[in-house]
Amino acid sequence: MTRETLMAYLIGDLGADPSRLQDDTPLFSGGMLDSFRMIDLMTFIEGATGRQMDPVDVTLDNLDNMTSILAYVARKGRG
Amino acid sequence: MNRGLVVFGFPRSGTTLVRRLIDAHPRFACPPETGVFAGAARMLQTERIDGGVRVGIEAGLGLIGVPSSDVRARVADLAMGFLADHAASQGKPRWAEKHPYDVFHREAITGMLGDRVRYLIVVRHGLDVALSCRDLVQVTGRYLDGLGDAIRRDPRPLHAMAASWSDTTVDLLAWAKRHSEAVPVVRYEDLVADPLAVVRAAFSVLGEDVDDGLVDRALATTGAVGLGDWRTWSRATVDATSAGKHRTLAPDLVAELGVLAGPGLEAAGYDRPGPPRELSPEAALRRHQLAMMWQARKA
Repeated sequence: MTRETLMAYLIGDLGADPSRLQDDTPLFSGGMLDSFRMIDLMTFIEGATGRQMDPVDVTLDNLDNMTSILAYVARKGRG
Repeated sequence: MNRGLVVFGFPRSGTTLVRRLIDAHPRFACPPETGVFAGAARMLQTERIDGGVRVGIEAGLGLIGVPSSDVRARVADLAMGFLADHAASQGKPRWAEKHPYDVFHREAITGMLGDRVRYLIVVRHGLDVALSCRDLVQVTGRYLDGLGDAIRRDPRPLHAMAASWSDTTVDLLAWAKRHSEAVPVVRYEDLVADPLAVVRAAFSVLGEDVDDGLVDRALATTGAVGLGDWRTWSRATVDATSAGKHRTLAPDLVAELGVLAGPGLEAAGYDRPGPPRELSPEAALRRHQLAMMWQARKA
């Protein structure tokens, strides 16, 4: 998954605000996206890595901004 | 010219705010929900028994030669008389009435009042209405009378209310188009965004001017609360945050409700939510598991 792919998904599918979206923008803790979008994001990540997420990986540390999402995907799979 | 005004709107559509605004007009008195028209409509209710025998006040008085038109006119006179008396007591030439049950008796009320009065319709996004109706049920512990049939058809409250809102809105707006005189339609979302402009537009259809201070006067009113939206009366400003609350619902639920509310949303000029997504049973199960995992991590 590239930064551009992730950004396009966050903006186009999840409705993230493109004018505020930076690599370190807090997506969920900052209120840009809600919990329902978190489930969509996790589904998207599972599709990208080809692996189911482990419950211990479901944390804001892994999912709250683009940098941490890309790092998590790179660690887990097809990155 | 000095005719009354009947406000129709599905419960939780912002009709209490509209009532406050109308009552602040120097020529209109709009008391708390008197229920005179819903009551008059019940008085005129007719049952059919035994293969079509009509039982009710119109049929009964018909047996002694009183035409139905006379019955309806005299019941209307009785109901309107209370409101005219109230307006006179306030030193105002015109009256208005809004009650949440009126929309469920709209056929009887419009049949009884005809063009002796003017009408105004308040419309709010059907999914926001459904959510607000659910809040009301949680507070009062029961459904409004007019929603009983909807709940019997679908026991899921949001689904039932979205469907009922849609049926009612389609019917009401179609009636407004057929009515012989223009019926102003106030959209709640437009009203909370710019109350003065929206009220001015509606009142101009009714042949009345609106001064710059009307909204401020309406919101300063704290007396004569009566029945109506309990939250509206606690506010001294128009609260626009209650528009679009359905966006806090799960997208899949919004899509389901959008199907039920779709005809009403289209008729009232709102965007329809996208269709529900088709997920395989496996994908649906995985989404459920992910949602549970996320909930568990948040707890």
